[in-house]
Amino acid sequence: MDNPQSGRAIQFQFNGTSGEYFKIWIVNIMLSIITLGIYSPWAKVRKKRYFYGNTTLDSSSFDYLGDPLAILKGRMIVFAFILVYASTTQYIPLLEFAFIIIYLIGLPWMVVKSLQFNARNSAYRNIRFNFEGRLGEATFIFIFLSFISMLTLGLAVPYAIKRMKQFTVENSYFGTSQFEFHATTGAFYRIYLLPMLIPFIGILAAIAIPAYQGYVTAAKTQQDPQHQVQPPRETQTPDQNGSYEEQEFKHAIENCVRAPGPEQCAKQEINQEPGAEVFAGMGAVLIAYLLMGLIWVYVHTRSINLVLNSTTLNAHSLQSKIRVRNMFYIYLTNILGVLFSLGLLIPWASIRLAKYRLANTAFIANGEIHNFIADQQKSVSATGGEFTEAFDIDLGF
Amino acid sequence: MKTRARYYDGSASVVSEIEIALNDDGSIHVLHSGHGETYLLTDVRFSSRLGNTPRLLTLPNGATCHIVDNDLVDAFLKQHSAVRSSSFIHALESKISYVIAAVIFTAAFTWGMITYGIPAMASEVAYRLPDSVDRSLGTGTLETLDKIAFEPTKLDAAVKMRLTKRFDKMKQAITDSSDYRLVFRSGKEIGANAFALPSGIIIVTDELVTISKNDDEIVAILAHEIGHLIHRHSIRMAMQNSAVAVLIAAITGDPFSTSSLIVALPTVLVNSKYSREFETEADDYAYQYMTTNNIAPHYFADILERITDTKKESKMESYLSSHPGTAERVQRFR
Repeated sequence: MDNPQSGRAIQFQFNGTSGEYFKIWIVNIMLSIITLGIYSPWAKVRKKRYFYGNTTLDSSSFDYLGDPLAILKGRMIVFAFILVYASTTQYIPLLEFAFIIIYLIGLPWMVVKSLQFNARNSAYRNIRFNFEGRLGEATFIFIFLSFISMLTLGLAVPYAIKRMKQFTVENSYFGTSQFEFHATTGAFYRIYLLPMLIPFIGILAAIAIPAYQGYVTAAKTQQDPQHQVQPPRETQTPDQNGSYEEQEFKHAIENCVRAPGPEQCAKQEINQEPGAEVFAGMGAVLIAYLLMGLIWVYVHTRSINLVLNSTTLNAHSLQSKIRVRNMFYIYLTNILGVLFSLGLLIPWASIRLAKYRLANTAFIANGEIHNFIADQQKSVSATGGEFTEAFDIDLGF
Repeated sequence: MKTRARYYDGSASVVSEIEIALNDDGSIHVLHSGHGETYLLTDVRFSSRLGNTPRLLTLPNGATCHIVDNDLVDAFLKQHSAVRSSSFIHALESKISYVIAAVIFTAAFTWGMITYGIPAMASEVAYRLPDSVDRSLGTGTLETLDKIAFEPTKLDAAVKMRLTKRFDKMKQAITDSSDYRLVFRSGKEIGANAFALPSGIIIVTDELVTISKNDDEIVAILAHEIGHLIHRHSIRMAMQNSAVAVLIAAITGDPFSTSSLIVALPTVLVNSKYSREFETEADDYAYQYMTTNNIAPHYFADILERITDTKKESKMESYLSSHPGTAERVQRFR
């Protein structure tokens, strides 16, 4: 069937449609609600099957074969764990410490198991994927490197991320063929350079702005001999309100309007028309959100490209050409659409993101692609997979 | 009935285009590279239908086939009553009326949970929790506020004494009020305001005392703050907010990773709705306290209006606001 040609790009395709997925999505939600969540593993499997089944490469679609019952079992174990945690630590605080230890030891195991469950239940042309990451390496990456990242104030984060991706890719198999990872640590640092500079700028601003304000206040104080800095004691004898305090006080009355509630006033700025400051504040929050989103999309997009473009399988390789500006546009319009439709456009958002990503992903075949050989394997419990989901550790491969 | 299928033998990633016959007697004939094999329906496994994704047929020898013609497979399975329970789900997914019903059901459920379910559960739990939980929530809050928001009070000692006396009298009417404490602070930018901390501390700003025309007005505000404490608003708020975040996250699911903002905005809207409800509840307490203690309720309205005087409310704000509209609140006390 395949036409062996050196280095030909085979495009991934996504054939799912928003309308079709909407129906699956809403029925999933409804049944999950009716069954008090018991249906949710079936819902998850249906969702994954839909996305796998609509992803095609060289006319063959992928298959997701996860067993909902295995996932349910996993979820129940997680639920029991959380229940025991929540009900005991309140009475025996020392147990919290024990749980942290269990969590630290258990986390790498959960990561490995969830990657394994997902890989072994993914198939293409009746050949299953596999994952054989070692617990020792996972512990080094997810525990030790995380601590190092914290100790170095984030400077080691790109290295830690690189090792995570490498761990994920290099220990993955398609049948008996092992994936290889060629990205350098430097390439990851180049991606994180921009976002790492931003907190630095923020720190500078945090030092500079109060310093400037302090300077202004000091200048004012000099002009106003009555103003004195008060030691923070309630018992202090009351001081006459100087002209400066009076002014401040007037501002405060003008701008802080309603009793009682601290958030109200903290948000408001001085010396603006009523109402206007609310919009100004919202505008500032919006811009901050947009900037944060842009940085996130930038890192996310470039990481996806780097990881996929650095991955090879035998003589074949992967290619991803998604662009930051397109991804930002998709995410932005997705968020707006979802918000204004009160969530009803979530399926549409998911589908168009998958479409864009897969339309820009290709398998570069170097030689024949029908000689991958299946591997014998055992089934893996879903507990790992559910643990990582419940504790929200997204590996994002 | 014959259909084309893609055949994967399960040992290598080879694909062959083959023909499959779904026979009337319920057997399945797979014609593969010149030789055919016949299987019984009970020996093979068809994946359940999911939209129009290819149907996965698993044969006893581990080989699989992808069949694109879903309708044909469905007709065959129906004819031989091999319809599994999962096809019920496809039936739900394919009828537009069921889908609309699912949308309405989900919307009604979400609305019901936010409006009634979560607040009811939170108050049920909150009133059973020992006071110590509230107290632990508020530890250190005053110290933090002193650092970032307040300055020491500049009120006259006699004024403070007078108001504290009134406050102590109010405390006597309430059981479990031993932790309640009244403190005064200069509000700086915060201006005329009062706060109740879960630890039982009620903060009154100097500015509030200054704009009050008599002590009964301050007592009215104190009654409102005590209302917050008695009704355990801090802990209920904390529980309700986290419950809403969990609910929205659970319903919207995880297909996208930027769900944080998507969850954040509705959560903010719902949180301010809860906050307004709590303010009304605290107002209720104040009203009740004032009428039973022969204090004219209009004092509350008076001081509230004075605090609000310089400010007009925009529409936008009333949706995002943590407090009900002042006009509305004042109305109840007149």
